[in-house]
Amino acid sequence: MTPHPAIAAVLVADALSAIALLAAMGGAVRVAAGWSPAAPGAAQLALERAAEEVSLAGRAALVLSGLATLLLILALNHVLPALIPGAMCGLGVLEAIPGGAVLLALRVAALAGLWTWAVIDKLDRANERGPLAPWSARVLLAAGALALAAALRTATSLLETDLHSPVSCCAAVIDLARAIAPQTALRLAGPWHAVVLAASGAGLAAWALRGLRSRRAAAALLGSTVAWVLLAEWVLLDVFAPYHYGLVGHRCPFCLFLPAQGFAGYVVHGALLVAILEAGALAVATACRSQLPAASHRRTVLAGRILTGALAIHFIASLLPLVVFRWRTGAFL
Amino acid sequence: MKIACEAVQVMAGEAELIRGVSLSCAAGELVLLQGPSGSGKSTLLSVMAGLRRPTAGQVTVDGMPVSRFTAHHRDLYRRRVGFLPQRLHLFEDLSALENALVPTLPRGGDPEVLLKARELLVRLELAPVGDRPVRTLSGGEQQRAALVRALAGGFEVLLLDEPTAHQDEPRVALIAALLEAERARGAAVVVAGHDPRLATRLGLARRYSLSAGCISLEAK
Repeated sequence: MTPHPAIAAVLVADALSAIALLAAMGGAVRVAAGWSPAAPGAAQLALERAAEEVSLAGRAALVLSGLATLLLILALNHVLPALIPGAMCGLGVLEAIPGGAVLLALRVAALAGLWTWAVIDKLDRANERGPLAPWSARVLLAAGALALAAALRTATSLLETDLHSPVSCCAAVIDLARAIAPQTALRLAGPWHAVVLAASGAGLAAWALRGLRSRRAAAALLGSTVAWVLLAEWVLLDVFAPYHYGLVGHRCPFCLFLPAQGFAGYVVHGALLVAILEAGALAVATACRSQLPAASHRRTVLAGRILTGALAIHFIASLLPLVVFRWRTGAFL
Repeated sequence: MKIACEAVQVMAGEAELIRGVSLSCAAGELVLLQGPSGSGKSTLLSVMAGLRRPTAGQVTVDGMPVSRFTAHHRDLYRRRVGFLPQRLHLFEDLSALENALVPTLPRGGDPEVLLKARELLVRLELAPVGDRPVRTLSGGEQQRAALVRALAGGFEVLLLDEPTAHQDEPRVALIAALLEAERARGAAVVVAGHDPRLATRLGLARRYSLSAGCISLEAK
């Protein structure tokens, strides 16, 4: 792999994140194992100091890991296509990177894990005594392990990237679409996709804004949000993408990130990521309601609003080119 | 509001600065903490003010272990404490009045504090120099300016380290009268120092003596 500055930036951000994570996880192991808040002995006070250091280091790791992921996406979409023969967008680059799709999924999962920890940590720090400290430490250990694995996988995959063999890029997507389209049972007439998506999104938003009464309801909302995001992604590529690209049959999720599409991918996919993260935050805050009622209530209200905003932004950004096309031509593709 | 230390220990590396110190000061009480230089008085006050965490033990306010609060909540606690540190930490380019108002900045300013600060500047004979940068003031005037800052907020807990340093006899009497007024208002006042002129003028609830990090309760 060419030591391109964009790749170096990703690796450096990941390395810094890993250092912060290892420091945080070292303290988290001690907190998870020895937390005993009843007596103010020297050992417990040392753990309380360690818990604050874990919080600081963990937040630094989250920011750096998020930055590394953003830099990777920027590199995939705007830098590496020029270096890989046949690659026109991030999809072609992922083909050249060994296990590229898995790598991307792993990074998103790691980010979601660290975000979940950050939500618990923030709730914990809303109370003077930090009642969730041992739980927060355990979640950080799990999310941190995932983030370290993602960083390691990123480094090895990027260093093993094949810069010489040509890739098929969007032809692969077109072939895939042809293969699965006839088997798609949910296929509806074009405009109905938008109606179904809008109606289900509105229902989801109303559910999130109303607030949840139990952990089971929170888990159901999280599951529903994930399902809605998958539906939204499918509708985006199957119905709205031709209006974005001005080309029927182009179902590539990565070309939306290109300047020619007005960087729409950052908005539509970013909104979906935010929706999943905030549905997770809502679930976590609901689960902590018995220990931290006031802070949990504030976070669930905030999560409901952000989730609603993210769903709306995704829908509007996806739909807008269709509306413009219809207004200009009086027809649908 | 009652502030108490429960078996507080402070280590600095291998050195034990304070060992198992317990004391208390309730609302409307004035407590004196005496001891030779290096006995740990200033360290104990900084622990009570939430500026330093004990290595073992805890500081409680009305039963809440404030020294063990998470960082944000410890910051909130510190806003409720009037503190006169041994090193004054005044902003040298600001006036005495402006220095007195600095602690109100996180609250977005407070007109009542402004009024009280002006009144205290008059009572502590700083009115003529109250608008000058504190770097132009004498050591005694700077000490009184720092005392104005500690008292102007009307705090429920006052922790004062050597409040009469660099003061002559009439000014000691002024300061003693002010501390009595704060006690009468209902503040819990802890004074550290070894100025006998102050001790004889105060209506003390208790007098503690610190020696080499260990505390003992003395006769008033």
